[in-house]
Amino acid sequence: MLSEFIVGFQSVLTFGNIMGIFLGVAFGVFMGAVPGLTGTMGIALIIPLTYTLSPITAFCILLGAYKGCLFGGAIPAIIINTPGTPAAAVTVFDGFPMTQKGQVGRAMGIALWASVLADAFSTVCLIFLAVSLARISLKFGPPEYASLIVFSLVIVAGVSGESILKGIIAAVVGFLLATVGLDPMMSTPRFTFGLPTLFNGINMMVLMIGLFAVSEVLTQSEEKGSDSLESTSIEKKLASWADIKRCLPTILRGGVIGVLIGAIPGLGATPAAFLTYAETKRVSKHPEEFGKGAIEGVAASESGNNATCGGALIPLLALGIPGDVTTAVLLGAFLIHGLTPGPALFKENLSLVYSIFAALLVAIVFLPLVGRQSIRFFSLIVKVPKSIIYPVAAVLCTVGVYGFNSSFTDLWLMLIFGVVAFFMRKLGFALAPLLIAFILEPIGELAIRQSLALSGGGVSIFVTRPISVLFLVMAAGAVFVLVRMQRGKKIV
Amino acid sequence: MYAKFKTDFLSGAFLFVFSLVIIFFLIPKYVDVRTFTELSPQFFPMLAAVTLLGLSLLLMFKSFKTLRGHKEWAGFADLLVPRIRAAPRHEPLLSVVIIAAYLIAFQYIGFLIATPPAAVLLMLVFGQRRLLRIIVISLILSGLVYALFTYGLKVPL
Repeated sequence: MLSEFIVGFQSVLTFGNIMGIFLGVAFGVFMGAVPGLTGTMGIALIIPLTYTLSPITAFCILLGAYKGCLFGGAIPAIIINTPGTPAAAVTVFDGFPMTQKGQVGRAMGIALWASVLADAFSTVCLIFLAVSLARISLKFGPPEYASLIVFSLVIVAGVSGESILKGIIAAVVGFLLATVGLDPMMSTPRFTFGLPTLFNGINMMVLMIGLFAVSEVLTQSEEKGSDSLESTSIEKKLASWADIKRCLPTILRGGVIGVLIGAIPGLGATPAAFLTYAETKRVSKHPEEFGKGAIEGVAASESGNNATCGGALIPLLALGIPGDVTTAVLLGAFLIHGLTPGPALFKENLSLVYSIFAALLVAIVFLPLVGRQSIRFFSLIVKVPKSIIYPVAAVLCTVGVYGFNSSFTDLWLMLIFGVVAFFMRKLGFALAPLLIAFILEPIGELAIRQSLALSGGGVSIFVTRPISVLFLVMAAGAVFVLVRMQRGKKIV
Repeated sequence: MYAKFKTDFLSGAFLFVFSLVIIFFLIPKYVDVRTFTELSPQFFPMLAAVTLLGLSLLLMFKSFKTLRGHKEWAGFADLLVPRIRAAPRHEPLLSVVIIAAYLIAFQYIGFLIATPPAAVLLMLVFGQRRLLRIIVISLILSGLVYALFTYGLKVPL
């Protein structure tokens, strides 16, 4: 292994590859930081540009972009309450309140270091545990997915903000919205109203941008003295070593959860961020601080979502199965370069595999460097008057949404969701549970229906498989903990 | 206190009606019931709608419970007493109208012509009053975004 690593590093540590990693990270941060653009879109766009490059250089750029976008999504989440990527939706809970307290530098600093450390942890896991974790992920069938989603939906109440009942209602609405489109088993339309653009369902980015970005624009337009941002005192200092040390257990927790969730194909970074946040809040001595600017909240979300980077590469490299949407796009990159990920890759192209590992390790070094400069640059946005920043954000979101499918239906949906979310916020309904349930429903519904098809309608399939039972027991335990937490608190 | 009761009660009532519409109109009309699997395509939407129905009733019930416990509660007749409220702000409505008009203009006239006026109007709604700044920013924004998407990201606008 050591000799392969040395060869891998020798391949990567050339001027061209190092520049490729640096530019990839910078590009990824930019794509993640601009609402309406996504890392997946960015990677898909640059894959054709890498066609003429060597596979090692190509993957240096692409993997750098992958890492960069996972952190980049936190920047607008913290500054303007608008996640740049779905996984950063959980970062807004505590990131934006910290900005409102004038701690934008501290929030972005901890987001950066949580991302870097969790990413490093997941990369190490990828290098040393890829094959073992891939074997575990193979044990996940439809019943296990279904139970995991049930568990995730149960704990969505834990991130519902002040009112658990309203959070659950928001989650149910998200669940309902996710049923729009073609039925996953029968392929018959559901709630498409005859519009072909809805056959694929509501685009998650359209929903996210409408819920968070457009509603934020509408909310900010209502504030008196809209041009008052310049008067907010801004603490320029990034997170201190004491802050990082305080968040280390959270970051480690996020690393573990992120790697495990990332290694399960089809789940992605959002559930990892959300589960890490919920778990961190549960074990915290001051759970009441979460949602009001708790630094551990930002660390939890960012560590959970960034750790999926290494985790999602595990099934991709070891089995040829993409762990999330972005790695599905990366699979395309492998195929373009004449490579087939999976067990064969480890046998026939071991040097490339270790070059990829080396590139991932080098990218960890560049992420804090690029991230710090990005923080300095994007922190300036806080000084830009609201009367400029939010109209600009509105235009960027409009164009970004249009960029997905060139669909005006998407634009109208974005506006509708924005108006609905504006009223939801006024009425005290949390938005994140809606988005999380929206993301989880398709996975859960398909898994449940496939499980029932496998078992011929019997529900015993969910309670006779050990991993499935484990998640159902965890879900029951989560309900018990939530009920106990609510004993001293009003539900509404 | 009363504001919270009203918002919760009205939210619950709206969701209650909404879920009834889904259960008795939208699902039967827009979701096919035919299946060869154990669960029909209607199952999960119906599950969500029925759950929403129950939760909305619970929200309405809880809103009354909150009100009854308050020491100033003087009975249901008290709800009919008009109260002085601050006038609702019109900026969000203006912003929605501007964005809607922008979407229509974007579709029928094009990005480069639709975006500068929309940006100008939004900045005015947000309280920006420096005219030169407004015009310059709207033009630069339109140009930069157009260049980025059309030439950089190959997304024709």
